[in-house]
Amino acid sequence: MPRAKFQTLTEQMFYILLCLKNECYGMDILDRVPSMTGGRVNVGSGTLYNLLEQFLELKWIRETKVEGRRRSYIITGEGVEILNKEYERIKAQMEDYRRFFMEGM
Amino acid sequence: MKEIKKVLFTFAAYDYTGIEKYLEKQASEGWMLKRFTGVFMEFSKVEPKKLRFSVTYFSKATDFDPKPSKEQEHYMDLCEYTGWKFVTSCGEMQIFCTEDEYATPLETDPIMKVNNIHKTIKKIFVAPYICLIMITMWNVVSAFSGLIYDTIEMLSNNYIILSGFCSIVALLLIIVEFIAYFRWKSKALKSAEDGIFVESSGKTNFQYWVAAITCIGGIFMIASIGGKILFCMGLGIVLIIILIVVGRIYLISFFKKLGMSKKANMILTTMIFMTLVIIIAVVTGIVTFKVGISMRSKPAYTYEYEDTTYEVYHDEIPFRIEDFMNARNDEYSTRCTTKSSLLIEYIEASQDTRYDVELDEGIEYTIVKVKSSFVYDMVKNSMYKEIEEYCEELADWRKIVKVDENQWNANEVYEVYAGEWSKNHYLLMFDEIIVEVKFDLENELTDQQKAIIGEKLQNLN
Repeated sequence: MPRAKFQTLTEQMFYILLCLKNECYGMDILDRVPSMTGGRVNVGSGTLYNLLEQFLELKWIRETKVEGRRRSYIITGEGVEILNKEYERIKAQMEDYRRFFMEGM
Repeated sequence: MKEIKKVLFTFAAYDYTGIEKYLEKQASEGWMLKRFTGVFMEFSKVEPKKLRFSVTYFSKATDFDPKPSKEQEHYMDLCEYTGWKFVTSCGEMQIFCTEDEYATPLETDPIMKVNNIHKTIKKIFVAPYICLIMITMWNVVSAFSGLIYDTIEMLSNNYIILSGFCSIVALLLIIVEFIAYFRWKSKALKSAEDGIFVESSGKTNFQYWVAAITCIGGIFMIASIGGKILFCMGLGIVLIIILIVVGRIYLISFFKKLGMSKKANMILTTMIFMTLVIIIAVVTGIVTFKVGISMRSKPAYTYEYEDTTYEVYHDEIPFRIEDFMNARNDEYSTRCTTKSSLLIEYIEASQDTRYDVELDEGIEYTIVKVKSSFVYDMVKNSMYKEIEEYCEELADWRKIVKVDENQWNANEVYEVYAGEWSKNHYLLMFDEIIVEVKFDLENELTDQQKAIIGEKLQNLN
């Protein structure tokens, strides 16, 4: 998986990582992302599966336990770093917007 | 009323939107997908239902898995959680459906979907296709190089023509497939960048099947014209293709039912097919060889001369020394081999005196009858070049010279000279027949003899 592609996170990636601040099952993520975003962001099962695989590969998350057919995950330090970077980026974007539209006028 | 129907799968493997729409339409007409083997889709009769289908590609799955792997189960559980029921799978392709109109689609990231498909396509198609391309390329190249270096041998061999033809068709098919896929991929990526899943072109991948059928038809056509042996060979090729495509699927699912592991299934299936292919190749080889031997003529008798045994043949030959002059011997050995294809008939014949007579004389000739006029020039140039090279190799000032064709009543005549001396070696070109002939006679041919030979050759059947 090319890292370059993940320079900025998609919304779905962002919220999946955010969910994984606390340990949770894959299925929980499917419920939590829409409820966190008021239904604005939905993650499909297939997309979730693939993203979890990629995050595991990149070591942004790790598997905590496998209970029968259920698996749970949690974010790693590296993942938190990525999430923080994304947060900073969004914040900077927001500040630019504010400066341009509100103070600049 | 039929309860089950089988439909030939005519979509491109990556055209998921096309497949989804098709399955939705079938369900609304009361046909629910039950099984998909890659060649056929099996539907069973149900109440007409409005269903949503989703075709996804799970690149870790293979045909050989006896049951879904742990990872695949996890994947299926996640899908089921949002209301998508697993219907069936074929290798990497996983088919789900749901009655819930508002269920979150299985895939919500179009770029990821395209990448996923690409990963799968790369895994299942690229390696075998590259092998196929290399084999067919090799076939095409060897056929064409054969055409350049051994034109007549090649043109007179139906088998080479047949395999060359098939290779070219196969190569074109693969190229068409590749182009179609990459065009689809660039279209899909473009719409994915806008956040949209690509729409199917709606067309089934019909050209592929039309081309395949044309190819099989071509094999039969050539084979049926080319005589019984070739017909059998053509039939054999078609059967092998069908066996490999269809038989493989059933064999794999049979082993799966026996509960065989993925590795064992893979190894056993591959071994069985390798063995089959080898057996078929050996049998074909033996049959061809046996037929070849049985067609060869047997000597009429043998004789001893200076401690060596010589064979005398009495093959029928198209024309003999006696046809144009008074022969000096009563007994000759005549040999003749004929090769015939769709394009040309190639006859090599000779008439020789026995070694134990004093008056030595003979003729040796090659007759090519051109059946398809478009190869006439190819044959002519090849035969001319061969004589030219022969002259150069002998390095005794031999050269091939254009001479008067009227004596022979031919279209064009070339004669080999060594210096000023004629070597009694000619290349004669008639309307549909080209002949290279070497006379080993005491005297040069008279005009009258040339006319007789010309007349005789033109009226060969």
